[in-house]
Amino acid sequence: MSDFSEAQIERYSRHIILREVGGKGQSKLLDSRVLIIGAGGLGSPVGLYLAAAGVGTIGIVDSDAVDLSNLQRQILHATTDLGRPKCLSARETMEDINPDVCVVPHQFHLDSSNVLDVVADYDIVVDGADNFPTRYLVNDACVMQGKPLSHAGILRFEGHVTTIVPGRGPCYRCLYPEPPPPGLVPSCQEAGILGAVAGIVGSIQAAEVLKLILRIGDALVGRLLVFDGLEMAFRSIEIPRDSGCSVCGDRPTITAPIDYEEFCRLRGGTESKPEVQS
Amino acid sequence: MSTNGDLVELRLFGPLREVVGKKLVSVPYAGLTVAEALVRFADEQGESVRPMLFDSRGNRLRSLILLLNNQTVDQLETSRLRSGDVITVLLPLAGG
Amino acid sequence: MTERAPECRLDLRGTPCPLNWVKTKLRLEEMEPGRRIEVTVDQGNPARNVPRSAKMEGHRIVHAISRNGAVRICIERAEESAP
Repeated sequence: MSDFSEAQIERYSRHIILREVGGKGQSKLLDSRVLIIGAGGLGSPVGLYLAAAGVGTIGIVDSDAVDLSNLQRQILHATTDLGRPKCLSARETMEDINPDVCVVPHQFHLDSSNVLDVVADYDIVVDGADNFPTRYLVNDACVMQGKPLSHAGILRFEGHVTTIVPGRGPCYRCLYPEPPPPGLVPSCQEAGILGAVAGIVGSIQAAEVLKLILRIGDALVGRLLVFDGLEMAFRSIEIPRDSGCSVCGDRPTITAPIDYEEFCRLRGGTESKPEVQS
Repeated sequence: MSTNGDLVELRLFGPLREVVGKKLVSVPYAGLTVAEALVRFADEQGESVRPMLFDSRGNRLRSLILLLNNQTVDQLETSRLRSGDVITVLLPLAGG
Repeated sequence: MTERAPECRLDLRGTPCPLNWVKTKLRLEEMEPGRRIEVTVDQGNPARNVPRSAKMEGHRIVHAISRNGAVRICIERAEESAP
């Protein structure tokens, strides 16, 4: 498709040169729609790389405002953005990097009433949330709608990444059927996170999304990549699909999204109002 | 007491590593099943570790990934550990 | 019809590497296998790099003719451009 402008030919030249991408691949990127949950530590590198790569439409779900404690790792936002909605700060940064990209802000809490509608508008979803209820909500919605999902979680010096393609491999609930009891696994707010670890893990998510759009290589389907930043080592763990999984199994018992606040209460949790971003 | 022939390794990640203070722990658990090894480990480590493996009723948490020599274990209750085996315990991470 | 005529011609004199190849590649992608394109590039690096990149993607260099400080390269599109 040579309806690229001169500027686009130059901007995307290092992609087009790749045998696996070419002009056709670059057109696919420009035509694709990716939803990022959370414009935080993971969402920042994902958003930056997807925008730079020319992913045509990028939705961002985040209801928070930029806080000074975010800036150590959330590289979509700047000191001048303090107090601004993260969605808008992210949109500005990403559209500055690449005016070919349309960033759609979704400035609200995801819950069972809106998650299916939001996810339905996109081809691929990226989970960069900072709490378990949102992660289960997004996983379930993606399974129900058959949308590929790049999942990652980080804490301190550690990161976990996997790619969920419903029907082709395990989902998040196959890995962890239920969330841990509230308070057991600390948040980055409590336990800390090395900023660059978020960058490494988020960049892996971005690469996975681009590969899925281009239909090249092997995605992290059925594999959990565990990154240890202190040891500077990656371990790849093969995880099978669970045919008894409550959402993607042969006889699913979860057939509608579970509202995450209710989700916590159902399990007797005392977790306070979940935030979508850390 | 234990001899080297009894030793298996527990490889810990995330909050469990934080609480135990080590990423690798050598324990004389050869001969136990994986399930028994976790109970023994929780007993030995005490109350800071137990809630990361078991709920208040003593059931193993459903939010753990357990690996034996880097493979998922189907038979936690029957697979017996051999000297040199490595059990990996992973908890999900919420941070983003 | 011993020598098929190029389906299109691109004058890429003054276009630096690697943009000369990028523009050639975009045209090749749109062409049917076996069809030919003639690109004119500057001598020196462009004349070395463009044929090398084309060959790396499996295309055939039919000929390269030097004239007046430029090189006319005729490339035949390969059967498969992607792996």
